[in-house]
Amino acid sequence: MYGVDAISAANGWMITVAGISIVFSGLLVLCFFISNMEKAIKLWDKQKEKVKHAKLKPVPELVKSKKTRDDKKRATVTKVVWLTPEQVEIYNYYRWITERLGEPFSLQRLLEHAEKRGIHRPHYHLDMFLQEGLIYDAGGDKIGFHRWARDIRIELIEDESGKAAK
Amino acid sequence: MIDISELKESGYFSDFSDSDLAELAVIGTATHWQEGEIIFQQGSPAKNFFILKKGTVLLCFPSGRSLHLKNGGHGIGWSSLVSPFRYTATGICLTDTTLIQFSGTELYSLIRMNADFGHKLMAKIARTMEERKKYRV
Repeated sequence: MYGVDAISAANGWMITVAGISIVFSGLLVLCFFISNMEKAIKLWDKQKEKVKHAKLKPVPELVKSKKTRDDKKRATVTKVVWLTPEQVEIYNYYRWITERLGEPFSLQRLLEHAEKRGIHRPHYHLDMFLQEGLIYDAGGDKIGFHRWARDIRIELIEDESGKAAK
Repeated sequence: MIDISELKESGYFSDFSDSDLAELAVIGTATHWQEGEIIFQQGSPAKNFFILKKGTVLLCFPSGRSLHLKNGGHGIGWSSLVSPFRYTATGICLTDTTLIQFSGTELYSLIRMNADFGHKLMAKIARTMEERKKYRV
């Protein structure tokens, strides 16, 4: 048996149709994926932007809390550091990054993450936190790695009208 | 060329004689670096030795450790005087920084010509190396 008869006898037509449908279904999926790629990229960029500007949950002692809670904390607080709202935001961002890095953390890694996330003047702010004692060298066998100071309270700098300073 | 008074102010060469400082002043150059700028990369050929005059520099070691150097008087880039002449850390300016820069080759020429100066300088370099050894491991 040869030719068309052989194809028919061996289910050739069905196999051809199945083959064509598989290929075309694949192409259809690919087509759908490519046509929606722009939307997906936009969504990705949006998410990235969100992360970049995310205002993280403030550390309780940052903002004026109830007197009683403040009073309790004052017992262990040895220093108060005044920061502008922007510095507080960056401070929170740095804390968020180091939560993921774990303590004690590497300043180099912290800088890399901060730069990657587009934090405003990451080097300057890191220096400021180090100079203010908010970040300190872990010492001992962890010398050169750093920790956040627990005995420093952060206060927000406010202007005369009582609104947060810019 | 820089002024001898700048070297005196830096504090690093406090125990050097005026004649030594005069020779150093001839080969020294004040260089200005911007916040975030990398002075040198770990592993790159060490050609220059620096004295921190103003600003803050972060030395990042491959171990993940880092050393925060602020204000004046710190020697940076001792690798330019010690074999295999490759920087052991990456130097990053955290703020706008002023460094006094010395070419390693020119410092070597001074060391060759003045044994007493060479002895004092290498003793300082050895001390710096020892202090930073714990950051490299």
